[in-house]
Amino acid sequence: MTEFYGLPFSVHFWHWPTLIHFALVALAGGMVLVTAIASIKGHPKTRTYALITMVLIVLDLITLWVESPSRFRFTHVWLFLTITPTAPIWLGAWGLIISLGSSFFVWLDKGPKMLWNAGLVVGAALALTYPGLALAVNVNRPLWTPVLLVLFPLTGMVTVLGLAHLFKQAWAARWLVTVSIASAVMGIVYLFALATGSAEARQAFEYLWSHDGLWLSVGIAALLVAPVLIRRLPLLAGLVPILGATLVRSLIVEAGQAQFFGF
Amino acid sequence: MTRLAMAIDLASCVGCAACSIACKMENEVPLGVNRLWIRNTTVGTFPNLTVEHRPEQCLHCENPPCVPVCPTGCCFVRDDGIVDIDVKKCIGCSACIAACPYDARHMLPQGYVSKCDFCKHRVDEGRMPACVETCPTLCRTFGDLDDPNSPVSIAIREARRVDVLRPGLGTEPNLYYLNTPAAFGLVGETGGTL
Repeated sequence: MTEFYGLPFSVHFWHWPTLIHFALVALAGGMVLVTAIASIKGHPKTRTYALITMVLIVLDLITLWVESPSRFRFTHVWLFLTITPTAPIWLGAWGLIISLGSSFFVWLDKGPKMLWNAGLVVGAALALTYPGLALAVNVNRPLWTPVLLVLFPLTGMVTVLGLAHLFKQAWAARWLVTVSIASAVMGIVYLFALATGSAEARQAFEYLWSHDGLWLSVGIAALLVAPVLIRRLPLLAGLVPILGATLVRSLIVEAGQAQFFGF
Repeated sequence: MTRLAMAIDLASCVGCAACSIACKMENEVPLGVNRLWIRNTTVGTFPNLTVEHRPEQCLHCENPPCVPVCPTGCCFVRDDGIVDIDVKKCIGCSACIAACPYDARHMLPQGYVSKCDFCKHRVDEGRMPACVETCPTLCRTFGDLDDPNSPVSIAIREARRVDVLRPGLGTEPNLYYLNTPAAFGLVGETGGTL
């Protein structure tokens, strides 16, 4: 039996606004990649995509500012005045800023296009990968495994492709099916790796399964039904994977904050 | 080079929590969070019973996982080994809280992270941390690990058994637990019975 005099820090340090950030950064990161590909290929809607990218990044930055407990201390400037490449959040901050700047110039359609395209590619890589990296670096939290380095960029792309499909972008359907299935497979791999891993991983799996198993299954199932719906119910085929991907990401962020040290 | 460390003799600790209260008072820690807390665990089955009173706090690791993940460089290691926070640079992102394997960090209402800093304001004046000075059973020792004559070096050298928390993570803590009541070591680390 264990009792405490004074408790260590509570389980949850990231709350629901952080989950909104993880959803928005998925959309923003994915949209940066779409804009980059469109700009490189000379797609006629490149400027529209660049504008949507800017809106999503600004929305995400506002969310980050609102959720920050130090929003009125204006310390965030230090993100850009220090060089800390070992910190995923620093990489993400630069990824979003580079993407915002590059999107702006692509939207203006001025300046060296090669440079803006390079900025978009680098920005997309950083913005898509840093959320998974920010979780996976915490080896002390067994639910945040290296599988998230693949799962989070994939689910990020699912949300954008779903959105593109909702807005009837012809190119989106094929990619939505492929990336949704890949995300669902990675979701299953994530659970399987936990369930068959070390004693700590198995304990974490039991915790996750008992708390969020049903909703996690619903999220993964939603990623799998996109191919079935794509021809029959195009509206749902866009919406369902977005909800599935967001649900899977949110549950992993929320539940993964637990570490099972001595409890 | 100075390498500050602390050792807690669990055979002497009675779990009175005087250290926790001294820490709260000294560092004006707000209600609801703690820089230092006591984990009291009963071990064994009747009649072979014992209790482990284990004070826990920041372990000032040699390889602190909280430092590299800080995006503004506000988490850093001082020359004397204290893992410190420059609150002027903290953006409250909680990345360091996520990275700490010991739950030793917490967010303050002012919007920055806080934790045990070995009472650096006292240490810089040549005094002992408040928890060390307060302990009525003298179970805490503090000093420079690189000085073989420091109280902490002597305590570690003379201890029957020396343990650290979660050694498998490779953080190399500078807070040592001496003479655990249970023969298998710290509760929750390896499991086992008396």
